[in-house]
Amino acid sequence: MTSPELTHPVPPTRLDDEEVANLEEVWTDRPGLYGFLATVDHKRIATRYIVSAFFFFALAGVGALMMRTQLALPENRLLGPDFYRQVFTVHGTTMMFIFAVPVMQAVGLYLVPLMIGTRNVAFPRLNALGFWVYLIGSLLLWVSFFMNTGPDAGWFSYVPLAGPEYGPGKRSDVWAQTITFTEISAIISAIEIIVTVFKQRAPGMTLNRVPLFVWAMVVTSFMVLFAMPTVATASAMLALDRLVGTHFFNVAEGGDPLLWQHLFWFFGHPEVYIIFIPATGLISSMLPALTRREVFGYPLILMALVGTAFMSFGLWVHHMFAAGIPMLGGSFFTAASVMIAIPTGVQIFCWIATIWTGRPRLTVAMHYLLGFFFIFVIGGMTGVMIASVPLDWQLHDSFFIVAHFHYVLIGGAVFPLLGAVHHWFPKVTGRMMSEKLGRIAFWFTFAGMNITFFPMHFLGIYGMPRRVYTYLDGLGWNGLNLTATIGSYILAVGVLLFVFNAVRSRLAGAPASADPWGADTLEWATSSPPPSYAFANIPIVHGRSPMWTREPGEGAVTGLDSKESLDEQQRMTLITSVIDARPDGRHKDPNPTILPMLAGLAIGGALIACLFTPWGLPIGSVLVLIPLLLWGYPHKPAAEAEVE
Amino acid sequence: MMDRPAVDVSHLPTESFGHRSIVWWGTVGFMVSEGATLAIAASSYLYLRGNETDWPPPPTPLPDLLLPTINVALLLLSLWVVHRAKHHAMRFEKRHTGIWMMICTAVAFITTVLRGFEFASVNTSWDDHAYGSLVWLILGLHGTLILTDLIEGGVIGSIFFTDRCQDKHFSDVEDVALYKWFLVLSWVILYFLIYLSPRLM
Amino acid sequence: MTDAFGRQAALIERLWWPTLWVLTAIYIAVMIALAYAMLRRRHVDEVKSEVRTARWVGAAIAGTVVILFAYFISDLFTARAIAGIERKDGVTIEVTGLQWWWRVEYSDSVPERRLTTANEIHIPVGRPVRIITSSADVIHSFWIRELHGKRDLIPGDKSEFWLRADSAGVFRGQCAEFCGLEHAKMALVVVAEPEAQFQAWYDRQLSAARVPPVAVTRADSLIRSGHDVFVTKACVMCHTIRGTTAGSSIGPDLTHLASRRMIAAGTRTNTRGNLAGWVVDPQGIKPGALMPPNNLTPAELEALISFLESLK
Repeated sequence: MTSPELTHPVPPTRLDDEEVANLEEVWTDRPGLYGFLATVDHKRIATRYIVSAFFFFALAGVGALMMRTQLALPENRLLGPDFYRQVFTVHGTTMMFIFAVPVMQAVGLYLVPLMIGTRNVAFPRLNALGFWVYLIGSLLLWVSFFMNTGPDAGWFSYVPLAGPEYGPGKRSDVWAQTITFTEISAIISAIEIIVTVFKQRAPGMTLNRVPLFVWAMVVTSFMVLFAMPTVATASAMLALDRLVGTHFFNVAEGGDPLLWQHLFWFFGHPEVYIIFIPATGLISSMLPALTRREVFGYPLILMALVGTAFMSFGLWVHHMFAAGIPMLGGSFFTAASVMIAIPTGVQIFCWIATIWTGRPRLTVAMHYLLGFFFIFVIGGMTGVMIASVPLDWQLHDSFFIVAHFHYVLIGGAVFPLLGAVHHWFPKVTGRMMSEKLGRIAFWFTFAGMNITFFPMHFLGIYGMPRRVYTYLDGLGWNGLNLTATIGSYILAVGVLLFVFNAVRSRLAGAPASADPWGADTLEWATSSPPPSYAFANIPIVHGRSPMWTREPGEGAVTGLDSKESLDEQQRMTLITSVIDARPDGRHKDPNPTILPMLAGLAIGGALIACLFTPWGLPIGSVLVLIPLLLWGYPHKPAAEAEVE
Repeated sequence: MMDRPAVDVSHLPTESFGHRSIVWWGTVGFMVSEGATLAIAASSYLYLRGNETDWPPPPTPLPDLLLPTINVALLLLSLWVVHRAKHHAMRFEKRHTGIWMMICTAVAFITTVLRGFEFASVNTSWDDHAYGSLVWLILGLHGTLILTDLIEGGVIGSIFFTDRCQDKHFSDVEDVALYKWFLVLSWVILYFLIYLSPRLM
Repeated sequence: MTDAFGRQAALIERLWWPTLWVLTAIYIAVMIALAYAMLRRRHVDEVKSEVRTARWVGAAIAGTVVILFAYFISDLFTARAIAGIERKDGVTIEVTGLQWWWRVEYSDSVPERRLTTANEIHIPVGRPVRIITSSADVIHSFWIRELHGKRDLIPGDKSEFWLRADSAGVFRGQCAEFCGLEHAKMALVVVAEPEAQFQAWYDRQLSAARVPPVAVTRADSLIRSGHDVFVTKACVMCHTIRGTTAGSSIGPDLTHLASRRMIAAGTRTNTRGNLAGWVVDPQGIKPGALMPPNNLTPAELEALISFLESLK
């Protein structure tokens, strides 16, 4: 488990080679398709989550290029209005629900257990189920799109446009079901992360020693627990209105379209921070390796994370300023929206102080972090502008908003994420990504991003509303639009180069050592890539930067695996206490099984059947019950248990 | 140099109760997200109610009280029953735990059936008016939880009558008890909201 | 934001510029700090003072709080100034959003002086205007950036807001809330003009269309037969022309179509060629619009266009 560079002798308390080989046998999935489908290894599941999310990111990116091509010239006839509205709806829905939130959670599902020194997430089978549900939901959206049944009322599906009267067909039903799917998997991931962090930290990792990325994922997960049920309930209400004739949003029968907006944005604004907070965690956890010092202001950053999470639930109405809300309410939500800039500012200042007092290295990951500052802070500034009710009246639903949120989300989430891929790629794959190609890809991405989205600020100010499939000649919008289109192609080249670099490095990159960056957190203590059991001996933590305070001959946890447990093929994880991470129990971790996938397929079948008939729900529920019962029902006493 | 010895954990238990168990935390997690769902449904009810002068909107009659009230009483009773089961589970008494879990399941079954009849006793249909949609939504969401609890309790209870029973299943009984608290307390609030509040406010 | 012609837009613009410059200055300061943090020379035996760093960070946070507070206060004052506009002697206009055009109704205490028109609003300079918003189908949003910010038109939720043009001008507005297929081609024109001109326009709009009773000249006979085409073909199913038998309110009121600058809700300029193109093939110009294509003989079309062009 030690890295090759460390020369200190292995202390006698550690496992011998034979025991490690046993551990390997207990934890490693069977080869072949069955092993692939049945795995409950958080690393394998998280990796396929990340790869799927990037795949859908690429598809949605192609959609973005199509839109930009259509908008390159006034009254262009490349895409008709009906196709265009599906493209922008599917683009937005994919980016928010299928890419951004899942990819952040997936990075968390990969890194969190390693960072806190445990072998797997808390409920490995549930984790696998979450992935399958996510995958089916995402495929539902895209297959429908390719069948010309893509949702077409925008990613926030305002009623009555998305309601039964003005949105006939199955398009908005597909949207509602996709949302339900992805929110189920988001809630599952959130519970995984919270319980794993609370109960499975390595001994000595008291709450004030938890890495900031892990904290960020915990805070995010709590937000998910409150925000995602809201949108799942709202989308279920929309589906009911459409399918069985309820009247939640029907004005004629006591419903209210504004109820939809309240519900959607009560989820929708926290959603932005559900995407952004993990990214800030990535930054806080990369900076120590990149500047060779601990992050400045750990408690400040932690307070900022928690403060952001709380405040983010108090400003949803700023998406509805133009709907004519009372002035007093407007002031309250303006105050909340302005105030949330403070914790974000706190984090930015702490990071700059870290770089200032550290010794920064300009790796590709650092390039992306600097790109983050350059882009995201612009998004933050425009965010402050639209927090004001009067300014928002002018800027709302114009291209200014398109510019704003792409600056926030590409700058605030995609750039840290791409940096993180460069940073953790060696850990995940055992190979380094090319720095040279990485730099070229960075500059294309950076330039393309700014050339695409900066002009949109002006387009918005000059009156161009968002979500238009074309615009008339002679309104002064032509040049800016053409510039944005050119920029989008440059951005696409950058992303392609990035993907090319990742694929090439995966196949033929230079082999990576266990800790190529001299980083401070525990995931670098194990080999690259980590073995299936992650840590043969669970490490003991003595500080916030365990890798920097390690000492020769340091002790570790022993006695987690017993002779019997290894003989019985029983996987063991260590349970510790919530606050101070004292060893408290040995948990029997479940073995691989295909049941989560079957349950996922059953849930998928049920929800897809609900597109067509309300009977899908009861029939589907029974189908879902079968794998769940098999899953919950105990096997024969452990001695007879088999690997599968 | 500091002394940093190894920690031997071989003596630690493999099953535990309450917040020492990860399943307990998982149950809490699901309770939070399900609670958020019910809260959102209740908020929608109050929001749309704020648009109306009369609630329920005329000519819809008030919901009946008798059946729902019996059901609330049954739910409260099931709390006591499940705590008897928990009492025995924490002493690892297999037979008693099993018997009380079966009683608990029987009560849960009656509650579930009565919940089915509650839909008829609210005197409105889901497609009459937004009011009806909301009442049915709340009944339905909570009804799903009741049904889940019935199945879960029944399955766990039946395990105690087989030879597959392990230590962890006693810990599961405790999680069923915890979940029951959530189920009952959330319904007391929702009962007040949909049955009593239109009469009182 | 820029180019304010109205009181409300001017108030917003007055908040906009200082906000823009202050935030830009902060942005530049942050970037300079970051660049210096990256590039500064580091001494080999540099002693890092965490306390001094903490002071700098604290100062930056304090500065952020102060600036944001000042911004919040100026925002409040702007919102109050906009809400506190003078409302005496106002013109009341009800604007209804429909897929994908605007119905415009001027109200008046005298029923005969109530006016219905579409897609072009005239307002007097210097007088407050009360806009009552509503929607007949989905959510739309009314936005004339030279005069005021947006206001959503929400079905079942009639609300109102005020604006006032302080100098004359012709402004183009466009629906700002996605409302379906032709959201992109749902524009309108607002003409702010001096009181006298406005009154003249208003009186003219009140009059009914005059169809020549007897065809004396060739032009008159063309108009006359164009009128006949209008009231016998599909046109009459959806449109109103006051003074004729056409009285349906599904589509825009066309009584004074020829006086308008644009057709098809701001999609084309109101020329003879565009009008003919629109009548024959609305789906080619605005795919999904609710107006069906019309099969007319060349003679019918020419007559119809002549008639429409006579509706000054």
